[in-house]
Amino acid sequence: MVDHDDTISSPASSSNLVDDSVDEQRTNDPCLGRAELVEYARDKSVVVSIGDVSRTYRVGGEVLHALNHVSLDVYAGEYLSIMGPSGSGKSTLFNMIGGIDTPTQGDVMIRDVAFSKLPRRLQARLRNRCIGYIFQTYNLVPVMTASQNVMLPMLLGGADKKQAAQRAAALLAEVGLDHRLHHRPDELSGGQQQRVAIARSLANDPSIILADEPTGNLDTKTGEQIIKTLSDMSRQRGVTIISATHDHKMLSVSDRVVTIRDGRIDNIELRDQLHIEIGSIEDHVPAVAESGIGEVNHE
Amino acid sequence: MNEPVPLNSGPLLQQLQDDTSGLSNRMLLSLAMAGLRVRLLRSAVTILSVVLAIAFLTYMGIAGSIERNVASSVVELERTFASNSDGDRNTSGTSSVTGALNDARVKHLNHEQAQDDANRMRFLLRRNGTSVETALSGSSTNTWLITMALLTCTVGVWNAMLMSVTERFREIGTMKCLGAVDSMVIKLFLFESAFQGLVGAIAGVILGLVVALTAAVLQFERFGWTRFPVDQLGKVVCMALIVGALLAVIGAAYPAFIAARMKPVDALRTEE
Repeated sequence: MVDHDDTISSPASSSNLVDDSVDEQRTNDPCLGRAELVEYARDKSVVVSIGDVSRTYRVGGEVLHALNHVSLDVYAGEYLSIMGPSGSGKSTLFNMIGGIDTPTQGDVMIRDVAFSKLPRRLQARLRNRCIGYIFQTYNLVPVMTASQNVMLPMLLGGADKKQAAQRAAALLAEVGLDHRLHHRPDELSGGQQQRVAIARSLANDPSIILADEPTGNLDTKTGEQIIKTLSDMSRQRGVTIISATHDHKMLSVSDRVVTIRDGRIDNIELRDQLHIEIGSIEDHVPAVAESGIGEVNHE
Repeated sequence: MNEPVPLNSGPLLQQLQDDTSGLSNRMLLSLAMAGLRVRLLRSAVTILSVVLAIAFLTYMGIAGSIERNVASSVVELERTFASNSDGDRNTSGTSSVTGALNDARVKHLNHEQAQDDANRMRFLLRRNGTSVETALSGSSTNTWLITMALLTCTVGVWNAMLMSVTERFREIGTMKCLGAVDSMVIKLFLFESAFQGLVGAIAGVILGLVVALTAAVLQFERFGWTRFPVDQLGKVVCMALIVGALLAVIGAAYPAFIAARMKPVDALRTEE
């Protein structure tokens, strides 16, 4: 493990992290009580609340702490970016929020519902009604046309086929693909596929959209267009966007940027702070990218 | 920090519980069919494994029946031949003269015919490396060979179904993210595999019948036609269809169950 000269690497952090009490972790939170963050949270309602979530993986004989007692609130209508080098726990946190993965400890609350405590049937319904997913690899169903892909979440939710088709056409027109309704994913470019994915994520009018490195497989220009489409459409609808990224273009549209490192929240920045510090972040990232996976303990 | 509050009116949990709308079975069926249509080549390969297994099963069933029918015809003909010779002596006195003459002529013709047929069938059976007795006893020496061949076919079908499910783990993960419930994933694959099994079984039965009939005609000449087990046909066809569908469904059930229970994160992580 590589030690960083930041505030959260205490000597205790390398050995018995799981046993650490919650209180101790809370006081280690670098962002607790920061005035501007408190101000930012004022009058905002919480959509997703991550409460002291840990996730450990057992790889061979080693226990891998992908997330270490992370707590974070996501507010309605904000555009939140989760930054961090690969292996920082960013994707894990992201998957926890989306209910794609379950925490080893702690709970992710979507509004007033603890995701992991829901029966599987209701989990599926929650994903269907409240969350839209956008993946780095688009993950369109390869055998379905663009229109059918967008219709899928609606049909899974029990919508009428005709209405679903109309809505899919409208959504695809909105992302500029009205001439590609009946093309299958392999007949579309990466940018077009991601547009279909955006349309699909909005199909059931979710309150949250989770975008996992949506520009990761795209060139710079297409990536910019995708980000613009995503942020425009979400703002029109007041959708909360949570995006995992290490794409700096995505930061400029973010309301808030959370940096994850070694399975913990390293820093939270608001958009106005970002403009000042954006240069420093870019200098910062290559060094961090080599730091490897979070905490590795030997049992 | 704020306490989590519902975004919309009313608590979310209640909304989720109250909302029971979901994908209808009819829609699911059309999804399954659409998937099969688009993946035509891939599903054709899967179906082919069922076709071969069922064709083999049908062929064994029909070919065995034909052989048994031929053998039992030999026995029957020889028995009637013997009894007719007795009957000639006993009945000729009581019939009217013309009737008796006609009967005798017909019987005489039948006698010769029956004798020829019986001898010919005996010869054909021998030429095929069997005899009336072995064919009738039914305890074919290659029973275990047939069993092994069927088992191999079964494993082949299962493997094809397993592959067709596992190569779609990612798609399943995506579907689950979009709100597919476990039972929907299982049903989707069961529909697909049952359909593949049935189509494969029908094609297999046809193929098996054609091959069995051709072989029978080659082996037993016209007796292959005349001794065709029409009474057995329904039974064999029904059995083949059921076995075909079952093979496919059982083959797909386990991987589909695994896929449906998978956490989306694991399903998504699999390579395409």
